[in-house]
Amino acid sequence: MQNMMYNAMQKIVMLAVLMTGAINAFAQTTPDQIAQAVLQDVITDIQKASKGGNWNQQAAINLIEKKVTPHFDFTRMTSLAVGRPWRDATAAQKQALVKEFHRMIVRTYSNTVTSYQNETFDIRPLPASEATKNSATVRGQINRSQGDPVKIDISVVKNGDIWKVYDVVVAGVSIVMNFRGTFNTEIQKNGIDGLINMLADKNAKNEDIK
Amino acid sequence: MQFIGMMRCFRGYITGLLNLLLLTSIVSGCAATGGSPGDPLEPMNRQFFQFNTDVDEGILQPMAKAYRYIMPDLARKGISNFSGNLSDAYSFANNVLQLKPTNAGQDLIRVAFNTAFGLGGLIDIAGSVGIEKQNQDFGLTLARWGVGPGPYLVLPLLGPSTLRDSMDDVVLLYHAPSRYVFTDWRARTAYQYLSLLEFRVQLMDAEAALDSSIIDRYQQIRDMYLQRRAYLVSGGEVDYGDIDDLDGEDVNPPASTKTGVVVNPVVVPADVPNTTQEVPQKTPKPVAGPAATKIHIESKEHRQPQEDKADTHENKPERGERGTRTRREPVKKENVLSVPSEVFSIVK
Repeated sequence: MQNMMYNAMQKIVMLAVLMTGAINAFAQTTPDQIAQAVLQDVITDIQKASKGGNWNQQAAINLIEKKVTPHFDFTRMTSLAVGRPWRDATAAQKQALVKEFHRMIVRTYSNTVTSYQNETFDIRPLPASEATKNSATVRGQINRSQGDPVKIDISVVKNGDIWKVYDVVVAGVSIVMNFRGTFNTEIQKNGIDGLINMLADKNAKNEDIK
Repeated sequence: MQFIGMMRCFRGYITGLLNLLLLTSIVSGCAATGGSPGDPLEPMNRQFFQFNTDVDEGILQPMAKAYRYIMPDLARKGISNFSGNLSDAYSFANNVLQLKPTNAGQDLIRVAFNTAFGLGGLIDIAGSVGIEKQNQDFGLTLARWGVGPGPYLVLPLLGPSTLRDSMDDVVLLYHAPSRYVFTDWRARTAYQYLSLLEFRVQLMDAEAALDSSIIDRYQQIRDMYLQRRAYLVSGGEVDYGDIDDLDGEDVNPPASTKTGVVVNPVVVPADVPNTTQEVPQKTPKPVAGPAATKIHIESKEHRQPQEDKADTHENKPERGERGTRTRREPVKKENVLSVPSEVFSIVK
């Protein structure tokens, strides 16, 4: 009797696995599915690397640059972080700003990734009405071993056929908008070049510490 | 958390302080003390911020580290869940005051489940079956009824707040759930210290992660606090300001050079109310309606380039409105508000 039930269960599970596989293959990839897949992929890699014992900040940075940042639209992120003065920046200044902002974000994330403590992610499926638009917010939460889960919202925009992340909002704090105040203070004091220099200094210092 | 144990002897302390602050804000409003429009009390706030940082580094952090070292993980989880259970009860009361029966019901179920089956709240059973925490507080209740945030405040020992949100501390002074659970003041004080330390420990990792992007700690914590509260009040929306004007490629650069916007972006035509980058929060709600509150990515496509070219004076006020942090309609999305309530207030 027990054996029979076990067999039946096994079949159901197999069927379910096959079906989800089939659905995934046919369904258009929506941003929530991409987010889920990327997060899962990164977590697997972290766990592998930390088992292997060669897990440090540089490894974390490499992992982020390889698997996460290709999904980010850094130009848009930087323009949002800078705000209004962005329109006055020259092309070269914009490029420099994007580069330094990219470095800083990756560095900040690598701290979190290096100190990974078996957090898991729940990504909520995107409502069907939102997946057809050109922009969406993927909502989810980070489950920690200690303390309450933390909300995470990933803002994405569609460039052609590709979804790109332009903001991550953790516990209601946008990693992009959080910089607008300080960036604008710096621009008012020392201009856009002042901001570029300050970010470059900051990044260089962070990389020295390691 | 509630530093109430210590504050008990200072009954009326906060209320007195608030009156003082109100007075200062009025005075400084006239006498321009150097604060930015979004933070009129900045000079005073910075002093309290420094004081709090000193207390934190000198007393609280060493204690929190010792606590983390001594406490077994299971005990920490218990303390965290127990204070979470009390905050659910508090959240329930606030959801009732906000007339949100569904959310109040969810809080009530959490409290009932965790108290009855989770050893009096030591285990978060409701959370593990997906009934989310909501952490409503009195500041959010006031916001629900249309009260604006008022000036940003750094309260001594209690950390970042606004005039509106500080009313939460006043309510907690008299009605903290722990007052009803622990009738013995010694037990209550012990609980308050433990939950405070647990809370502080939980912030440590986040702080370490943020270290490489801290430029001005005071300003960034202030912006984080205000953004987070705006996010909670709006039910999960981030205000990006005039996002559609920022993509250089889309906006047609020659147009903006022609119109002279570049010359000095801070100068605003005289007929436009003061709405540059740092917009005061209490601007009356402009006509824009949903366009002003929604994220503007879609609107990028709808806006024709010639509209940018057309007329600066038509265009500029509109930009100002879009950038304005308008007070939003009372929250519609009911379930997005469940982020841990005090994450970014340092010693709350």
